[in-house]
Amino acid sequence: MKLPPLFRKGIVDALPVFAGYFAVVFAITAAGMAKDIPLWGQLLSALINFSGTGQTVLVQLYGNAGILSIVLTCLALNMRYLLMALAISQRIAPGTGLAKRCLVAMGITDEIVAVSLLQKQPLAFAYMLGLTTCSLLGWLGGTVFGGLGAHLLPSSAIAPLRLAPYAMFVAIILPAARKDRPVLSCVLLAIVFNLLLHLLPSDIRPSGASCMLLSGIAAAAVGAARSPGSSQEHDGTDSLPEGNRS
Amino acid sequence: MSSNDLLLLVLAMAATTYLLRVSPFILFRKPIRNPRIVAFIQILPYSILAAMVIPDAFSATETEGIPANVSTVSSIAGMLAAFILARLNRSLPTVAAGGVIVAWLAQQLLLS
Repeated sequence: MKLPPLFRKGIVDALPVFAGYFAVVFAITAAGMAKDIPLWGQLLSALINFSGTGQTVLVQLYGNAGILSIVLTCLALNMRYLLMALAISQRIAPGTGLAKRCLVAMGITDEIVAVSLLQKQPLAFAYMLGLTTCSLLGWLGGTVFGGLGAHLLPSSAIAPLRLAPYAMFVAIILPAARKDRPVLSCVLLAIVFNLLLHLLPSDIRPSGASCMLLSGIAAAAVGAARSPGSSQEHDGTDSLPEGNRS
Repeated sequence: MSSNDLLLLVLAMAATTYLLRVSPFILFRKPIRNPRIVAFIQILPYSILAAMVIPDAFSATETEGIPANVSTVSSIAGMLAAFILARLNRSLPTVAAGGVIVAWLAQQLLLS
């Protein structure tokens, strides 16, 4: 089968993403298995959410929060996709039809967007499809293997597996906080807010998930309010968080 | 959470996420001009993730059959390892694996 050259280029350019996604979602799924989250649910989420932050929210809050809390947290955590999609939509090859653009939208993740933004020419649909297909295959593969692999580990390893997502959060936050002072202050503030909320007496304290969400939003609002204003146009590309993973 | 609930949850998350991704393609196409809004949206993942870590990470490995103080120590050990690996700029899977392995070692040591 002769594949269009741009599609093939997309596949090739996304190979590092394939590898990274496989490993990351393997860990997330293994942690999910340790919490007895049905594999079919994790697989479905991997396919239709196709989001690292979304998948970890599912794994982390499953059993600890209601549907609404989880969806709201997912909304807040994934709001950056809006900015990234804006950036990509500006760079899509002119003449790309609506249906194709809607398909491209399904593949807006940190890594795919990062690779796309390296391209000098306008982004062709075939190229984006190649990028997304390759990345998604890595994502799905890692989910399957993570689900199956968790069964092969000794039962003593099940409990420690639940630490994996927290370790990954540290891996995401630390480099960004070291690079940007505002990120560091915001992160510390979020932690302080969360700890304060946890100290409230249990009859007025919000749920764990709500505490996290409120603290996160409040800290980000403070951080953004203190950021230096500028009159430049922003399309979300000038400081795509580097340490941010989808 | 029942199967139906899980299905509903995953579908709702997918709809929400997709809406965020697709709106710039079909609704507003212009860049966001307000730098504070952009800064807010960009920094939000970090602040939420930070709130997710502290304090919950230190009770991460709590399970039935393992005493609470053992799991707390193993969580702390694992998070310390993760912090060090992240400080050394190791990749996400490496940091995760390192944290889990150290937590497991600590747990096994304390249980033996």
